[in-house]
Amino acid sequence: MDRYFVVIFARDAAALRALQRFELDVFPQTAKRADADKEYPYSIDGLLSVPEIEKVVKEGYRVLIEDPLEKRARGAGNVAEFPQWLQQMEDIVSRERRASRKK
Amino acid sequence: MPYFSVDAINLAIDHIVDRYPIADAISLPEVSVEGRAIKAMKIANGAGVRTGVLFLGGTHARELINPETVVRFAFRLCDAYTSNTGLTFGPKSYTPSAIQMIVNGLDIFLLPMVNPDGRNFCLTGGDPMWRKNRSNHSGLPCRGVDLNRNFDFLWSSGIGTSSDSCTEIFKGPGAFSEPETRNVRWMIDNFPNLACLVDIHSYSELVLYPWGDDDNQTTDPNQNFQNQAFDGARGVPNSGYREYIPAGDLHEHVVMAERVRDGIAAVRGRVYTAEQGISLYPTTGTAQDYAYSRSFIDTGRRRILGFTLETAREFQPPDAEKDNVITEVSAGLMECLLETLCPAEVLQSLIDTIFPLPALRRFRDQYMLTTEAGVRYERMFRAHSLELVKLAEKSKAARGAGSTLLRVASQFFTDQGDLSPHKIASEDIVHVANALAVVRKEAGSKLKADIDIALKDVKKLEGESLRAAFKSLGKQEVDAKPKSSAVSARSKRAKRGVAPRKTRT
Repeated sequence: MDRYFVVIFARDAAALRALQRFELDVFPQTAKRADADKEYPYSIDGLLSVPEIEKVVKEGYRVLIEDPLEKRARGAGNVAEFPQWLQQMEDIVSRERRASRKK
Repeated sequence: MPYFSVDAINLAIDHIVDRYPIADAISLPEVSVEGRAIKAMKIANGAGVRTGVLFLGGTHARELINPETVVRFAFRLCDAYTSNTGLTFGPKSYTPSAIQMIVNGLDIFLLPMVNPDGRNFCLTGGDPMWRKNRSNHSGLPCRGVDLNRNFDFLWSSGIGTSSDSCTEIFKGPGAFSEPETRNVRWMIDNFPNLACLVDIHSYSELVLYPWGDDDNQTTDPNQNFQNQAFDGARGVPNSGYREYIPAGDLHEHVVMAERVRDGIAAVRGRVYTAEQGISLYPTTGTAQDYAYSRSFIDTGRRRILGFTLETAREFQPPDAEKDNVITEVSAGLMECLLETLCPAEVLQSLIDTIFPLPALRRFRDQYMLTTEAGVRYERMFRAHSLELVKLAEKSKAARGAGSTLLRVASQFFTDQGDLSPHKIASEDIVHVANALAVVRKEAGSKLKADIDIALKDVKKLEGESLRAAFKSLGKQEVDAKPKSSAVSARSKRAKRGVAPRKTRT
């Protein structure tokens, strides 16, 4: 099922915490109060499917859909291996040593 | 550069251990649920009683950047130490001598990829946003346990966790049901010198400290996580319950969190928020709270400051941003190490003498940091810790002076580490004044100025007990200056037990 990165807006802190009962993939550490929206000042980020978004909206929350999952999934199917890591590290420390000699 | 595979990260750890004599592999007792190796290492030069710091990465699978941050940090630290260079993170730099002092003075433990199965599942065609491990407990409908809800801190409470295996915050069938969390516990059990744990997650640009289950308070020790009388009230807004944290501990967490924040901000101006872990959502079973809670349960063990670092603004930042985040977070980790570096411990190992440092630390946390003068002196000491370590390393006279100061301080404690009835005698004052004068000769201007303050203060303390001394200094400050600004708003906040609950926009 397709999932989307969203921001869920709640009217108050209690409503924000009440999201826990839906057992959604919301990211607790992103919960915040932002005064930009006076009516829905509390927000939390999450990764929701369309039925989940519909359910949350029906329960009185506002949902801003930001990106489909794929747009922010930058690891899948495109990984680097150890030789590339080593090359990157050698480049970094060579620069470090050169800078250190200049000083 | 794309994100690195599980094998690449494990090979990187092996490479660091093979290439640099200061890095040693740590053999963890358990492999992952799917049988993958979980690797840890220690970076250190020297033996004896030293303070340890533990950095964890990759607990949550989809937070791909953090294992890479930890291995890159390890590699650069080892290389800088070995080639006697500094480290540069954008405009923020650390001198070769700072690097030498860190590696010579601390045991730096790293467990870069706590959850290799989850990472592998993200990277190889499973779910690219998988969070949990890949355990498959019989009788449960879904796979995976949220490892950062599986530690034994209020695990049974259910606060901020779920018993449903299909949710992202499934706490597991029991505390430490997972081999990945048992490995972390093993490190805490086996390295009693650990004084700080930083569990690196993503995202939200936060530096979090305990507690995560409820708001902090510093005045009622009875309201604490072990007291079952408050089960049901804990973690519930407006229930009247707040979690007890000693004022000294809160102070130290806040100081460290803000130092890490400032180190990160110095790289490219991203100002992380340093705040209590609970924020708007209570949590339990986290590594941060478990590590810190251990000293309340095993009262003899050294206290571990616990932190959760939430890096970046998304789970898997694009390439250029990934590099920026790794760079800024590395500066934060450097600040964490510098903050943890203990001049007294370095001195102790340089002169091969044992002082009652655990008793001194206990005194600092339980008494000194509850007074305004104590907070001021602790800050002063920390501000100069790097210079003091440097002086101890290069100057025999400074080492002698430091030894005198610690010897005088030792008289105030019994062999069991309790406060002795010893009162500050005139000869103690003479010894301290002479020792400070020796250090002063070789000190920089800021340290000189602070020594002058200390020299003035110490002369007023004859006949006082150590506890009374700090109270008396505070009183003298108030008498002399009714609206003293010696204590910052932050530490006043800490004393009130009010966590800095900032509004983020």
